[in-house]
Amino acid sequence: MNWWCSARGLPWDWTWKAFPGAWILVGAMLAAYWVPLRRLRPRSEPPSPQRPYAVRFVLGVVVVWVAVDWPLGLLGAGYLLSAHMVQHILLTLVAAPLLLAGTPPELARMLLGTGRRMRIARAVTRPVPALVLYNAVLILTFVPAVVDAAMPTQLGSFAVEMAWLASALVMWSPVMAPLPEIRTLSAPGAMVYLFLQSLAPTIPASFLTFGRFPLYGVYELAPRVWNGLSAGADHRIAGLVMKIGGGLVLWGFITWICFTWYASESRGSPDAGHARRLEG
Amino acid sequence: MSTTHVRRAAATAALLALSLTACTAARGPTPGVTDRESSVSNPYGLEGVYLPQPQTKPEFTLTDTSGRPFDFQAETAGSLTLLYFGYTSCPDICPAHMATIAAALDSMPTVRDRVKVVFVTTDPERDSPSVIRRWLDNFSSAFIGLTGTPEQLAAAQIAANVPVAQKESTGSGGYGVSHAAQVIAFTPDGLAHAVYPFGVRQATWANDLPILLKLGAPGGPWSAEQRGLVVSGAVMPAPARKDVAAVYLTVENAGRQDDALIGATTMAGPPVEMHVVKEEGSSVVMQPVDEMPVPAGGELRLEPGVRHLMVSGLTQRLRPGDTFVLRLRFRNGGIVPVAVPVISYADLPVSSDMGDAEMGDMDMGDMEHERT
Repeated sequence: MNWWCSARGLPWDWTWKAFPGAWILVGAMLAAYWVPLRRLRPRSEPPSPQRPYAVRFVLGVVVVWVAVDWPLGLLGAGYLLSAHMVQHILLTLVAAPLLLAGTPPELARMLLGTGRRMRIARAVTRPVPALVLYNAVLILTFVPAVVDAAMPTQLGSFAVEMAWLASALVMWSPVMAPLPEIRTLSAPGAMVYLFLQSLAPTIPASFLTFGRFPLYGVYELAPRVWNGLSAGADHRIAGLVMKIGGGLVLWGFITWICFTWYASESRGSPDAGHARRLEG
Repeated sequence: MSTTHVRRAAATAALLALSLTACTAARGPTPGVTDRESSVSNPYGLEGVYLPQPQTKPEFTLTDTSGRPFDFQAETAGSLTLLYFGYTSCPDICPAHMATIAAALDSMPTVRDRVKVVFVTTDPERDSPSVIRRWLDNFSSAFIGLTGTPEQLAAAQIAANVPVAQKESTGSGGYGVSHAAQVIAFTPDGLAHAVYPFGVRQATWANDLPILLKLGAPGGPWSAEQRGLVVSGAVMPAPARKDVAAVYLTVENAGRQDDALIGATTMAGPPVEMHVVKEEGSSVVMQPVDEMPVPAGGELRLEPGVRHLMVSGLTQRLRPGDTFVLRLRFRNGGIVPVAVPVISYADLPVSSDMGDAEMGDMDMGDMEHERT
């Protein structure tokens, strides 16, 4: 039994397969959320965080689970680049903001402390470093040599997916950091920031969509999932998923920020940072 | 060796290793390739596994998907031919090879029509002609599918210098087929100068196919002429008997590499043997040989009383004035077609080596044959 999804070169079938690493990750995330919160809360208060936080966090964990476990995890690791791209979008553009929005400030403060970890967090979650870090990870993890070397191994596949998630948490922090100690952008700033982020994947997506030949050997030579879906078509779909799918998610956020900003302006309240609006 | 070539060679060696170790359905080594050779760069910019010693095109006749006999040598003569042994139920290597080649050819319309892809099944039990056709059509309707009896298919694999495929039980009552995983690329000169193990990608085909077409074209750098082989003086004396005749010719090797004549065929298919003539006491004996060396800078003279090619199985008596085509096969020079005029014995130049033998009176059929 494999603990994590990876490219194995075996024919694809729809028989369920167990990947305990995915379950352990999900369990660890939930434990890392609830156990500290139980300690933090006074005995007089309910042991769980406020419901909206919990709902968002659990949704984020569910998205992580869907992205890394069978079938999507296995399809993305060793069969279809388009599935790999869906994984990327789920982990970076859906799960990461949900996890951040689901983290109560006291838990974030406990995790980061007030010392070195907090200083590092404040440094890397400023907009420019966050954007650079996220896109550096994006580019690195989509370099053909890296993909072809990493995806056939469980550790490599795990590392790529965790790098996506970690860099996405950093990337979203300037927009929705759970702590007031970490400055978030104003609504217009957040919209510009996310707009810039929506442009960045256009370049690698173009290589995938308009490339003469498939970029990644691991997906080009993988056993086909459907006879009608060639490696070239899969690469083109992956490029469109990266460009259009990712763009839709980011533009959805931009629209949402715009509307909530407009609503707050209409009420005459100053823009106090939309992070507050995320609070339950 | 340039850095690029080193990288290419390393990548090729890695691909080769991958194809031989990671693919459970594949078996056997790449023909003609040693570890040392596969890591040697080639001067032609090929990304496939270059064969310093080219492989000759195999002779076999199988049945195509329309039920007609398919003479591999004759039907693919003059074309760049990609030969692959596989089976349609193959879950990984075979569809990947076919899909990769098809996609690469689709991207090169000018090359596509000059390449023949021949898929030979190693699973005749399940791969009927219609099954092969339907499967190949998933990739390209131009791909040629062949089948035959298990014996014919085994002979074809042996002729192509690949290990004969074996059935392997999958444990659930079914079976897979362990087969060679490489595509053999025969250039128009009738030789394979490169093979492509599993793991070769579309970009590699796109790089290599134009090179193979160019270098392996008649008159190209890989052709016998460019390698320094020139055949002249080919003649067949009008035979005394209807079914047996001798051919004489001269091969000059102006190249720097030793070569050898290793066989010959006629377009019509009668067998051709290579004979040397020996005098044993008072009788003259013809001894069949497997090859006749053509040394670098030297020549091979096939002349009466010394050595000749013997065409047997002729169905009609050839007369002076007739001409037929003989295809000579050289170890390195590939296939060289030669037009052979039929002349009368009186016009046959007599070699000084013949001594007192009177070739006009020689009857090939009556001559003593010695088997080695």
